[in-house]
Amino acid sequence: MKQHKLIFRYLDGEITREEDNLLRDMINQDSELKNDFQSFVEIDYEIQKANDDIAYPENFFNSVEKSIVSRMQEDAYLSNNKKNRKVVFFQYSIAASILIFFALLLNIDHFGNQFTKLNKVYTANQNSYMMNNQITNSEQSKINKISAHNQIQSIVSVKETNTNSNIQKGIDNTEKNNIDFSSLTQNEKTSSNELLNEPNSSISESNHEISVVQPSNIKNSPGQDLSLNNNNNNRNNKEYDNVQKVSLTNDYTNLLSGSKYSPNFNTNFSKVHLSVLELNSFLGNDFVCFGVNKSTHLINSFTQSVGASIDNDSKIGLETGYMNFSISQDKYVTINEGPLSGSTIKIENSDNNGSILIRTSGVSLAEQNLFWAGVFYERNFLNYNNFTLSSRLSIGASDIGFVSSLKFVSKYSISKAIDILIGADAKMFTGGATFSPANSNVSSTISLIYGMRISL
Amino acid sequence: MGISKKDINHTKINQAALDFKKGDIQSFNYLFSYFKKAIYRFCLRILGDEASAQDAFQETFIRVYERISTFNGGNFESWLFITARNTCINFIRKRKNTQAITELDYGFAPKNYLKIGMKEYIELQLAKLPLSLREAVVLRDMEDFSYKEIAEILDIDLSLAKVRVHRARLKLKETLEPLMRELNETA
Repeated sequence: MKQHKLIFRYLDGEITREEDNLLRDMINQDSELKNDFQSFVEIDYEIQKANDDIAYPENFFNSVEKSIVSRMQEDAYLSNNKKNRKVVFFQYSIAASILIFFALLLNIDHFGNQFTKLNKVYTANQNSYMMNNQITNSEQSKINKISAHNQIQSIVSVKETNTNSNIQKGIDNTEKNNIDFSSLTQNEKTSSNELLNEPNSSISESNHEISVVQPSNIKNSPGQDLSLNNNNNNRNNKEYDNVQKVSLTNDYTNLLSGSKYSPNFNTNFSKVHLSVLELNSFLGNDFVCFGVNKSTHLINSFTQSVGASIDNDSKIGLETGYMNFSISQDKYVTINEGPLSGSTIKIENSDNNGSILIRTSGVSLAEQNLFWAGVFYERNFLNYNNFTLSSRLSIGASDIGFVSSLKFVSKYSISKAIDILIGADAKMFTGGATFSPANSNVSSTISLIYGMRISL
Repeated sequence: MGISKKDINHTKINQAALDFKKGDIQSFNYLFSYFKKAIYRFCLRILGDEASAQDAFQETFIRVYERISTFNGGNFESWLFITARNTCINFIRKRKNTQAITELDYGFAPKNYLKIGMKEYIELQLAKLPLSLREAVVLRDMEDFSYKEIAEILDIDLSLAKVRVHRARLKLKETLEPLMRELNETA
């Protein structure tokens, strides 16, 4: 066996010089081994030579090569299409991002309106505040008046005390001159003068009564003090408002100082507008398709969205989804240029070494998935107990083009946070022609949708 | 002329394979024209008839195209022959449903031999070898693969690859030697 190993190493070209010498010695000494060696070498030679005698099916080779090249070209074509679709998707994504950005800007503007409203309230409050100041001043003048009246009363008391004593006119005049009339109104002055100058008209000597306006009656005594009364009326009318407005004024002051309402925009944004967040999930089954064919999948679409209330009946938000459908896909075949003789094809202006990819008349159905994302606006138009009917308009971009959706959804609230939904969804989207020029550029599906909504 | 391993520029082939992986048609054309005869011979000798060999050949290159993405940049030639071998084994398995196992063990002899010369006789005896020995000796003596490459293609140890090649040679010698002597004597 060792001899055979040496022969095989010789045949494999792996024999060393020492092994070669050893093999030669053994062959020279053993005639049977010499015959074996000769047989192995001849068989090896014949086997290697056998390769040259094989008749190769060149035509078959060519047809295999062309079929694979054709397939490569077809795949390259579809791959390029796919790449183009990705590019379109990114373009639409950017457009959608810009739309969302502008939508946010609109809300900022909305917030600005709120700010303007607050400004108006503040202006009104300023006016009210000034009014309050006037009222306060009036109150001060009222106090002065009361003080004046108290002085008058004390004078009257003195007069009363001295009625029977016939106080000299000079003393009365002196007392009258000591009273500060500067803070009294004209009526009060008049009244006071009447009191002082014409005691008989207002002071009854018989019962010592004097018709002095009492402080507690000042507010409710018409004709006694017109200006005071007017101020009091003003104050009565605006009293409640003033309390609120002063409070709002304080709030606005706080707003400016950032103590209660932070000047941070986002905080105000969420406080003012996005009060309720909702998560929606829809499953859909197509029942009418235009431009595409219904998919064989059990569920044809899935939509998920997150939205926020902008008022009692309206919501805006972001929506993502996918849908599947079946499309007619073209078949392509590669025509290769043959030798320029007989009935062969001459292809000019070809970039692919004398071959061209052409579309055949045949089509094949292919399942296609479409992923999309966009924004939506939803509005309730009917509320009845736990039922709500609403419509939702969505626009967005898919990986192959534009997608719009109009949904009519009925909602039944099973708890405060969870609603069940059922409705119809009409989608319109572009991109059918991407898969096959024979398809319409705009396709549409109408689906039954159902799902649930969770309010946060 | 068949391809010779000594002439193969591995670097160029592997570079062409990587370009082919990227979808380059010219690289595929290069690789196809380089290996088409070797793969056909291999399929023919493993399967034993031209029709099956052609089917296996086509299937091999389609598989190569479909799975080129799994090629990791190693030895493309070995990878190609692994694909061809697996394809041939699948063909043999399909045949098992209609052929006797004993016949399978000794391969499939060509049917239409009108004149049997040395070349045909070698092919006949080669076809009678068990598959494990046949593929080993075909790869070593007809396609000039190294034992290491044979072990890689057959997914066996290096020593087992050597053992199989040696056994196949001994068997061929046993069957071919009488005819060789007869031819030598007549010559």
